[in-house]
Amino acid sequence: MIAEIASVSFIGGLLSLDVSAWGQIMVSRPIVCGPLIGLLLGDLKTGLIIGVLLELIWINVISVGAAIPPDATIVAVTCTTLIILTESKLSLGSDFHGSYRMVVLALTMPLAEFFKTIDVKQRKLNARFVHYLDREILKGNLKAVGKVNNFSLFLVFLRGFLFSLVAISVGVYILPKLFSYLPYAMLVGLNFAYRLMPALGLAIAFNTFRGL
Amino acid sequence: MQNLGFLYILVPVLDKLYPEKEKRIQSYRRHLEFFNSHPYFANVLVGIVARLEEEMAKEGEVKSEEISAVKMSMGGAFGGIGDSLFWGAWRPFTALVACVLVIIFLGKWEGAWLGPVIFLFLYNFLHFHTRFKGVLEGYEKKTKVVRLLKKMYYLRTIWSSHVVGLTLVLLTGLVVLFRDWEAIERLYFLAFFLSIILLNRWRISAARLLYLLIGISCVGGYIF
Repeated sequence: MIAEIASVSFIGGLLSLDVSAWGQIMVSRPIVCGPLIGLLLGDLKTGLIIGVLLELIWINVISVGAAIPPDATIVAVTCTTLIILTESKLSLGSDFHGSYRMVVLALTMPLAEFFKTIDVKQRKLNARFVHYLDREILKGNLKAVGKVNNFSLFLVFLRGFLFSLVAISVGVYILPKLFSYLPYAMLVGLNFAYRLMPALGLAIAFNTFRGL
Repeated sequence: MQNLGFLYILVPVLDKLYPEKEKRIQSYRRHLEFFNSHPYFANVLVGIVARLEEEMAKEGEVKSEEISAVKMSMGGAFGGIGDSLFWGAWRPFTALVACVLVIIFLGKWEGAWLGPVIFLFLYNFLHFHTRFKGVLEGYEKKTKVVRLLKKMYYLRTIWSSHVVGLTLVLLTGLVVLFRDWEAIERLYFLAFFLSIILLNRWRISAARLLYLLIGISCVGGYIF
């Protein structure tokens, strides 16, 4: 379990580099990183499902100019990992896996906004790096360009890695316990909500393409 | 923003052009100024700036203020084009194609994982095309590259992709409706789908819509 969490967090850190810092070949989109994490943990199907649901929900999230959108990657990574790692340990039968997935989705969604606030702070830090670099260049230390660039890339990786490490470790212990307290009627409702998720995703996609 | 990255890319060019340390320091500082554009289209500017720096170092015709002006004005313009083209149209469209493939084929066919792979191929074809072509064309044509953008054959097709996108969404909705839902339950699906579309006017975030869905379903769970 610990090895799995650590390796997934490592991949999560690499994937969060792809969001805006390095490459941007879009492996950071939920549709790709969901199945990727699923493949890593040996459950490709669950990864695909969660990836598609999150992708459709966040299909319209774009970064216009300097605005920073909520981070879909970290949610896809933590949500997929938590579901795959803990779903088999539930005391309820597989009939209620849908409702468990809804609980995990609902509780990991706020991480996107939370991660975004850290991102904003980090960008302010980057602005200070540039001032530091300006002084170094004036001193004649031209090698500092590469070092500062790579160091800020490393910080982005570290942010993704530590954030997913903490989120997954906490979630693995809390979520199954929390789920066992839910009343039966609510479980039935959540199960129905899970079945309606494609409708939500497709409706959001419809709105997105109508507005283009 | 992107000034540090911009300088980082230009370092090899600047090192080659300015062997004297004094001039090199100046050129480094020049490119550390504020810069923000679209990450893919910024490559066009990298090409243009590399060419302008070269001309400045060799002939001294171009002034450093001109380079700053080009970076400022074209960076913003390319940012606008890139945001609406890649973030606003091409990525949602290719992602939708992948999602539709997965929704339709998951559980029916082993190859559903091809959806994300197709997304990566489709998206990155245009992405890398823009990046490589951008540097080369920018270097070759300098600021005249703007005229070339008008002729780019794929811009119009992509901006009109929303019609295809809408059709795909509706068809997939129908497939899900008639395959996964039975009889009277289809009404719930349709009612929910239509109400989310109507709620679009208020620009509610995806997370809130999810909580809305959970809330309604839980209340429904207690009633029924």
